[in-house]
Amino acid sequence: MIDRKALWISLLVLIAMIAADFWRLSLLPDWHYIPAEGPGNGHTISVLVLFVPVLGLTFTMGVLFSREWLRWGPEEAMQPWRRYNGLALLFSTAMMASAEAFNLARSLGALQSVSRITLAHVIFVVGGIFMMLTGNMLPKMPWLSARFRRAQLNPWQWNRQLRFAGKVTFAFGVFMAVGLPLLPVKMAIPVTLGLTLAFIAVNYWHRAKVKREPSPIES
Amino acid sequence: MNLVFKALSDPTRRQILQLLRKKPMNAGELAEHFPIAKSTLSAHFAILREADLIEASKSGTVITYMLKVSVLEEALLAFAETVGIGLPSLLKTAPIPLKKATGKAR
Repeated sequence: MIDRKALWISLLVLIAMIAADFWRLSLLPDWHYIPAEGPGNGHTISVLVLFVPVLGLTFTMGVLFSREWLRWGPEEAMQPWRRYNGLALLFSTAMMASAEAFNLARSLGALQSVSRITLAHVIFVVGGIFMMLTGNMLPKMPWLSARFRRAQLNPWQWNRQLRFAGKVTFAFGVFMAVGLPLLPVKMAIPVTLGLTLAFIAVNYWHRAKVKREPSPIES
Repeated sequence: MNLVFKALSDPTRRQILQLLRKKPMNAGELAEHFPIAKSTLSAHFAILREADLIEASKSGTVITYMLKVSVLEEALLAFAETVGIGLPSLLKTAPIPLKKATGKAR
């Protein structure tokens, strides 16, 4: 349930990103480190940093593909989900490609006037706004059936779960856009990771709670 | 967005949404909560459906309604309830004396 056009665009961008990474690697005398602030500067960082956006985009695609495999429904229900997931994928692609372009440009000595902290703040705010938008729309998404009985929710349970997940996603977006820029950048990564884990855990907890409680609709 | 504001401006429609937050209900079950004609209630359902705040599923002759509100619409609903937007004006002014019942059928 991913929009095919969005999927093809993202796949092409991903291939271009991998090719750009290997091209940059081919210019390095030592494949373990890349110059962080341009070739003339002594400051180097691990070459793995170059591959973080590629891994991020691959992870997003993996999550969306697993969703596609796990759930199905009638065509009129699948269409809004395709649009929703396609939009999420295109947004992730744009963010990751921008991060990669920035890393490459910096390692080649360009964009020295743009601070990494400013860029991080822009990513937090834009990402937060996007999460708020997607969280807001989540409760309106139609019911889908699950491939496995354990993951199956009836329309009422699904409705409750999406309303909860929508609110949590929206709150996460507000924190990302407003709270994260106020934190030191070094703290932003562990805080975001911790909150992401909490976000996943709380959604699973709510799903289990909804499944346990008596439902007015038969499963 | 205008449709959403219009739908949420009426206390009866907000009450319908509050009831649907607890569980999905059919038109008959919802009608039990309101001392108004079924045709009036149907008009309210139509406005809520037009605003995409509820969805209806038909099974035989029974239409079941389920809540379909976004996060912001739910917040707006809570806000409208708290502030009391669109409360009948007679609640805010002096009570209007009721006419004596004549006993005649209308």
